[in-house]
This record gives sequence, structure tokens and C-alpha cells, in this order.
Amino acid sequence: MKLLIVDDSLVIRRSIERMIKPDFFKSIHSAQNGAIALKLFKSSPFDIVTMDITMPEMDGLTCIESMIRLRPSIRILVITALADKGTAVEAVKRGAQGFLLKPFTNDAMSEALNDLLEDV
Amino acid sequence: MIKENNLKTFIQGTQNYFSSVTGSKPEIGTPYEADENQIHGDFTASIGITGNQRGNVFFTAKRDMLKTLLSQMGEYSADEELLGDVVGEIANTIAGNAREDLGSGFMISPPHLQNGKINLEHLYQQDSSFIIPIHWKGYACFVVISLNEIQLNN
Repeated sequence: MKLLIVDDSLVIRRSIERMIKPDFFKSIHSAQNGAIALKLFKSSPFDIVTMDITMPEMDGLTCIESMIRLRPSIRILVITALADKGTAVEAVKRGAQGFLLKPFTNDAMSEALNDLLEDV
Repeated sequence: MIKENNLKTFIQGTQNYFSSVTGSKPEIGTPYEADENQIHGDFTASIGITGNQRGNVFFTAKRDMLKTLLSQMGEYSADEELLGDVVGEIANTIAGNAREDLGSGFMISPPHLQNGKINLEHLYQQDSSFIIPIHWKGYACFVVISLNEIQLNN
């Protein structure tokens, strides 16, 4: 399986990489905004995407919508600091299947990814 | 209008950040209104606030504290890019988490890194600015809330 990590924070991208079990993913790529992520997504068959919302150039919600249009079967886990219910609802409306609030622990990340992987 | 309870939202968000990410709860000092002093950190990030409020949320900290924090997060490196990045992520997380209480009308921008000091003269343009002092593992750092509608009850 192939994973794409999308977040404007380098610290978060590296944290996610450290937390995930490498056995699950044969390759891991990352992008610092939605525009770069979309470019990568168009050229490579990712199975799972972790997606931040607040990013420069293209935000996560717009990026989710575009990815779902291109490949409706993609599994997307939103990882954001935006703690209002409206953001979670909007992310799901656009096509995300999971939602994890920052700051997150190793256990919370594993649980969220496992939930997403169950359906793949 | 943000009242004292809403200022507590930012305090809880700060406590939650350090507790979740490092496993150690920080001590939060009594928030105070910004005065003529400047707050100096080696690294400062600001989050622009728009929507139902206008202003900024800042986080500023010294290099040594950020190096310790990164190490607690499992980072083996602490170069300039990561030190700047982590202050931005802390500011972003504290501001974003505040939407649980303040709602989706409290709109936040991506983090903007700036010169280490926060110039409080600029903050006077807002109705009120509050400084939240934080002590974590012997280090001091600050969250500054500068919004055009923020106001304490008392």
C-alpha cells in the first residue's frame, strides 16, 4: 500500500512517518500543501492519504474534494487542529473517512489508521 | 465577545498540547494584559484570525526549550527549519483547538514565522491583548492572544 502525508508542518509530517507501522506501507510520500499533494496524487496510485486542513496555496478540504473526484475509492484521514464539529462534518461531506484531532498521541494515530485500513 | 471563560479555552488548549505531545503538563501562570514590555523568544509564530474576530494568536519560545520539546517528540534533529516549524505548529494547534468553544467563525490562517520578539505596540491596535505565561520543564514560553473583541469579565 502507498501512503501520502499532507501537512504544511515538517514536524508533523515526520511525526506521522515515525508513528506508522512500516509493514503496512511499501512507500510513503509527503507534501506540504494541497496543490503539491494533488500533483503527486495524479501521478501515483496512493491508497491512503492523511490530510491537514489549514495549509497555504490549497487547503485540505479543497484537496479532498479534488482527490475524491479523481479516485472515489481513496481513503482519506483528516488530521487537523480545527476542533469544531463543523470542520469534521464538512470533511466527511467532501469525502474523508476518518478524522483525527491535533495534538494526537501515537495510540490515537494507530487507532485512526487501523480504522481506515479495515475498509481497504 | 470573548470573556474570561474563553481565555480559559486558550489556556486549556496550551495545557492539552504539552500534555499530549510530551506527556508532561506545563504550569500556566496568571494571564495579564500586555504592557509596554516586549516579549522575547528566539522563535515566534503568529496565526492571523479573521471571521467573527480579528487579530492574532502568537506563540514564542527560546531555542533551548524548543530543542528539548523536539527531543521529547522523538526528533533526532533540531535544525533551524524544525525549530521554526514547531513554534508554528504549536500556535496553529492552540488557535485551531479554540474553535471547539469559539466555533467555526473563528477562522485561522497558516502560521507565519517572524522575528523572535513580539512588538506589543502593534498589539495596542487591538481592543485587548493578553499574555499567558507558560512554564514547562524549567523553561518559560508565552502564548499571546490579541483580538479585537477579547475582554475579561472582571
